[in-house]
Amino acid sequence: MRWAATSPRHQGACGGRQRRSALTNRLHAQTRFAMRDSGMSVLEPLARAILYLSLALAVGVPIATLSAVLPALRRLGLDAAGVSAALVRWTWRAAASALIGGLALFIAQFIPLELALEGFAEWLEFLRLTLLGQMLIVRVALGALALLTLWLASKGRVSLRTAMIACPLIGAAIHATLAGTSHSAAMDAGLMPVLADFAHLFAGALWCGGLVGVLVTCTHLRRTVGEMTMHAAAREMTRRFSPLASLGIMLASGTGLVLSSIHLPEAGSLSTSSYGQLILLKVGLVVAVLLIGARLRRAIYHRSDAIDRLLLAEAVIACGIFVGAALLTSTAPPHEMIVHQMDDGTVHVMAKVDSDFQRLVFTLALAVFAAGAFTVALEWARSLKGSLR
Amino acid sequence: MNNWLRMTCVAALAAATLTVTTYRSASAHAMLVSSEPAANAVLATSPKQIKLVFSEALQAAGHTITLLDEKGNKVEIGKAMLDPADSSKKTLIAEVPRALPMGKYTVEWRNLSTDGHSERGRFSFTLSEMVEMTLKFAFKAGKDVVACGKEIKNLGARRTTAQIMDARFYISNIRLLGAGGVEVPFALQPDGKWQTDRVALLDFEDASGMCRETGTPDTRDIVVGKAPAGKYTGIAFDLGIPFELNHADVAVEKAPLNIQALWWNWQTGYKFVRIDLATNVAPPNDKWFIHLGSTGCGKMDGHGGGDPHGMANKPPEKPCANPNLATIRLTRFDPQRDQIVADLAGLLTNVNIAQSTPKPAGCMSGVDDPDCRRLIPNFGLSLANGQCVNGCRGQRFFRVEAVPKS
Repeated sequence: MRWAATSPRHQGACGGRQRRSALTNRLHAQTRFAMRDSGMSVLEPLARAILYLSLALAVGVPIATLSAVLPALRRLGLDAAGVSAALVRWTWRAAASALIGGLALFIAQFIPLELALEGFAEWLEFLRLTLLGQMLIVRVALGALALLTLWLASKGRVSLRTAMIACPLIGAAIHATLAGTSHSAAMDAGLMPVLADFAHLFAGALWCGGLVGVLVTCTHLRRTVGEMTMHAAAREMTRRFSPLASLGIMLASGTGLVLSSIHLPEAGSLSTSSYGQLILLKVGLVVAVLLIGARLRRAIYHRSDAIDRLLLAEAVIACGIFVGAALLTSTAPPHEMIVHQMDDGTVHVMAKVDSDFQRLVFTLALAVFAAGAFTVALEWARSLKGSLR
Repeated sequence: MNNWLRMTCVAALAAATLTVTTYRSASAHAMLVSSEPAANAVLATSPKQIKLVFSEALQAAGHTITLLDEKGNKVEIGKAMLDPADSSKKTLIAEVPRALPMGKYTVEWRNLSTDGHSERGRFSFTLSEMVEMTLKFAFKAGKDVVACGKEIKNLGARRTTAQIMDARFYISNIRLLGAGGVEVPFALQPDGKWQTDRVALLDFEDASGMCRETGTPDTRDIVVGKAPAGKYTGIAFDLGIPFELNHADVAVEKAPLNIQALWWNWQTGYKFVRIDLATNVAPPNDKWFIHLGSTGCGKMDGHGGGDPHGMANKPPEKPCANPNLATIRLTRFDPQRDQIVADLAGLLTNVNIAQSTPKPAGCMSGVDDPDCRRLIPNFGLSLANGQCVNGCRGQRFFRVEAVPKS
């Protein structure tokens, strides 16, 4: 050390090493931040995708079971016990995976805050004061309740019907927590966008989860009663589930358009922003689903054997739509802000909107609602006619 | 599976792949829209709190505001919390418990919006000692200095020759522009004659020659005040007097707001700019006056319309319809090296001073005064409503030039 202090050459080297060390530390810190941030930006959509898909199954599978699967099996004189057990297992897995998704979402949103919370009291304070914490507690409690109900149902302590009614209700409550912490809630535009967000998620879950429920039953029946009976059951289940599926798509599409009119400031942002591009992707996938849905309807009434394959295609695309929704909720809407400095020094911030574009999309949403309501009525009439026959 | 079904699935998959591969992660949720201190601000006194306003509602906790000094050390400040005064929950505050020493500071923030997303950012501000500064002004026509008794050639659209009879104007709300265009208030030093703490008078006539009639012997081509030490690259000021000071009684006001020659009446207020010209054109076109001030201030505004309602001795009940208070913003201005030139030739661009509508000659700021039609836009103002057009960027009166090395 003494030598180092007396040697200018070494002093230089030491200084250089110190400088290098500072630079290296900074680079390391920057790399760590960049890696962590990019990791978080992947983790959040992933956690959301898991949560949304699991919730869809937890909501849709029981509804499809009660409204389409069990009545269809009864009508065809097939044994429903095995199918019921399989569907309860699927719902249980969905609830467990929703719990994991909810925890992962909390982690994905908490870590970027870089809060050094020390001790139980600080954690409690954070969980108590923030929506992030409150929602975690509510979601975990609801998830645990769903799991408990399903476990009791599997043990025969609670009727299957009770469990299958409880799960969609719990799912709806979790959807409400998601809507309450969505972009719509953050933009301070009243209750309507939050309700639209809730209806959008729930309707999508009803449709997508129901499809999976029917598919799971088809797979189970193929193994137990053979291909021919499975096709007949698939036709019957799909015919019964079709009005609900149409209702789900109609509600999800209409509310999706309403939400687009709220979050997109102008038509141009559909192509210029990531948020707009994701909406276009979802619209494209919905169009594909509608084409498959039309084909599916023909297959039901023309006694085609392609129903299970069509259902599979529709379910796969439905899952793609949910992944798109997960990416969308993790992406910032392209709001343009107008800032007003008031005389008293306070600042008012408002989102800029193109009212013509907003009106056009809103009208389109109303048209979708009207067309959807007509289709649902038609489906129900045909379904009723079919069951009377 | 049928061909069409296969194609639909492939197309959907391709669209999904394309979107996911071109997907960029969340860019901004609750964006910072304003702050106190502002980014790049130069302050003379330590802020008592740091205030950040965001574009979206924030959660009740989970935010951090960190203050770092020049060396990157943390400065102790209060915990970041929602501003109780903002019901929209978009404002974060953190108290600064002790006065900060002079220096450059960096604010690092991280928020948590209602939708669960967080954003982070940083900005800097500087605390600096107040230093006295003198802003220099000059009155010219192109390159030539304008003075009483001196002929000015080639003025206006008809290249008319003229002499000044009066040349004075008020300025207020002076701000120096720092890095990134941040405005730093320039505190005027009252001197009992040329400046109050809010308004300064610039006077380029010395009562000689043709200026004898309305002029005063003393002249003033500087404005003295204080601003935080720092590097400034521009200046902004209002040409005129703010509304709350404009409608006072000239007989009882303190200098420089006590000059009768720069006042119309109680209701209309002061002449922000008074430049009287005597041209070499034959009478009745031998005079051309530029009197800029607020108009549309009530039932009587003193422009030859009489006072049928006896309103001249009352201040207006509401703001004037045409304030005519031009905001001048000049960039590339170094207070140490440059001066602000009031350019008469620029002001009279496209204005025909060889001819004027009689009673009164020249522009008296009235919306229906034909002589104002080409003149008022050269102040950067709209004749129709007296407001700045495009931030008064089109003004031709003021420019910046280096102080001559004499």
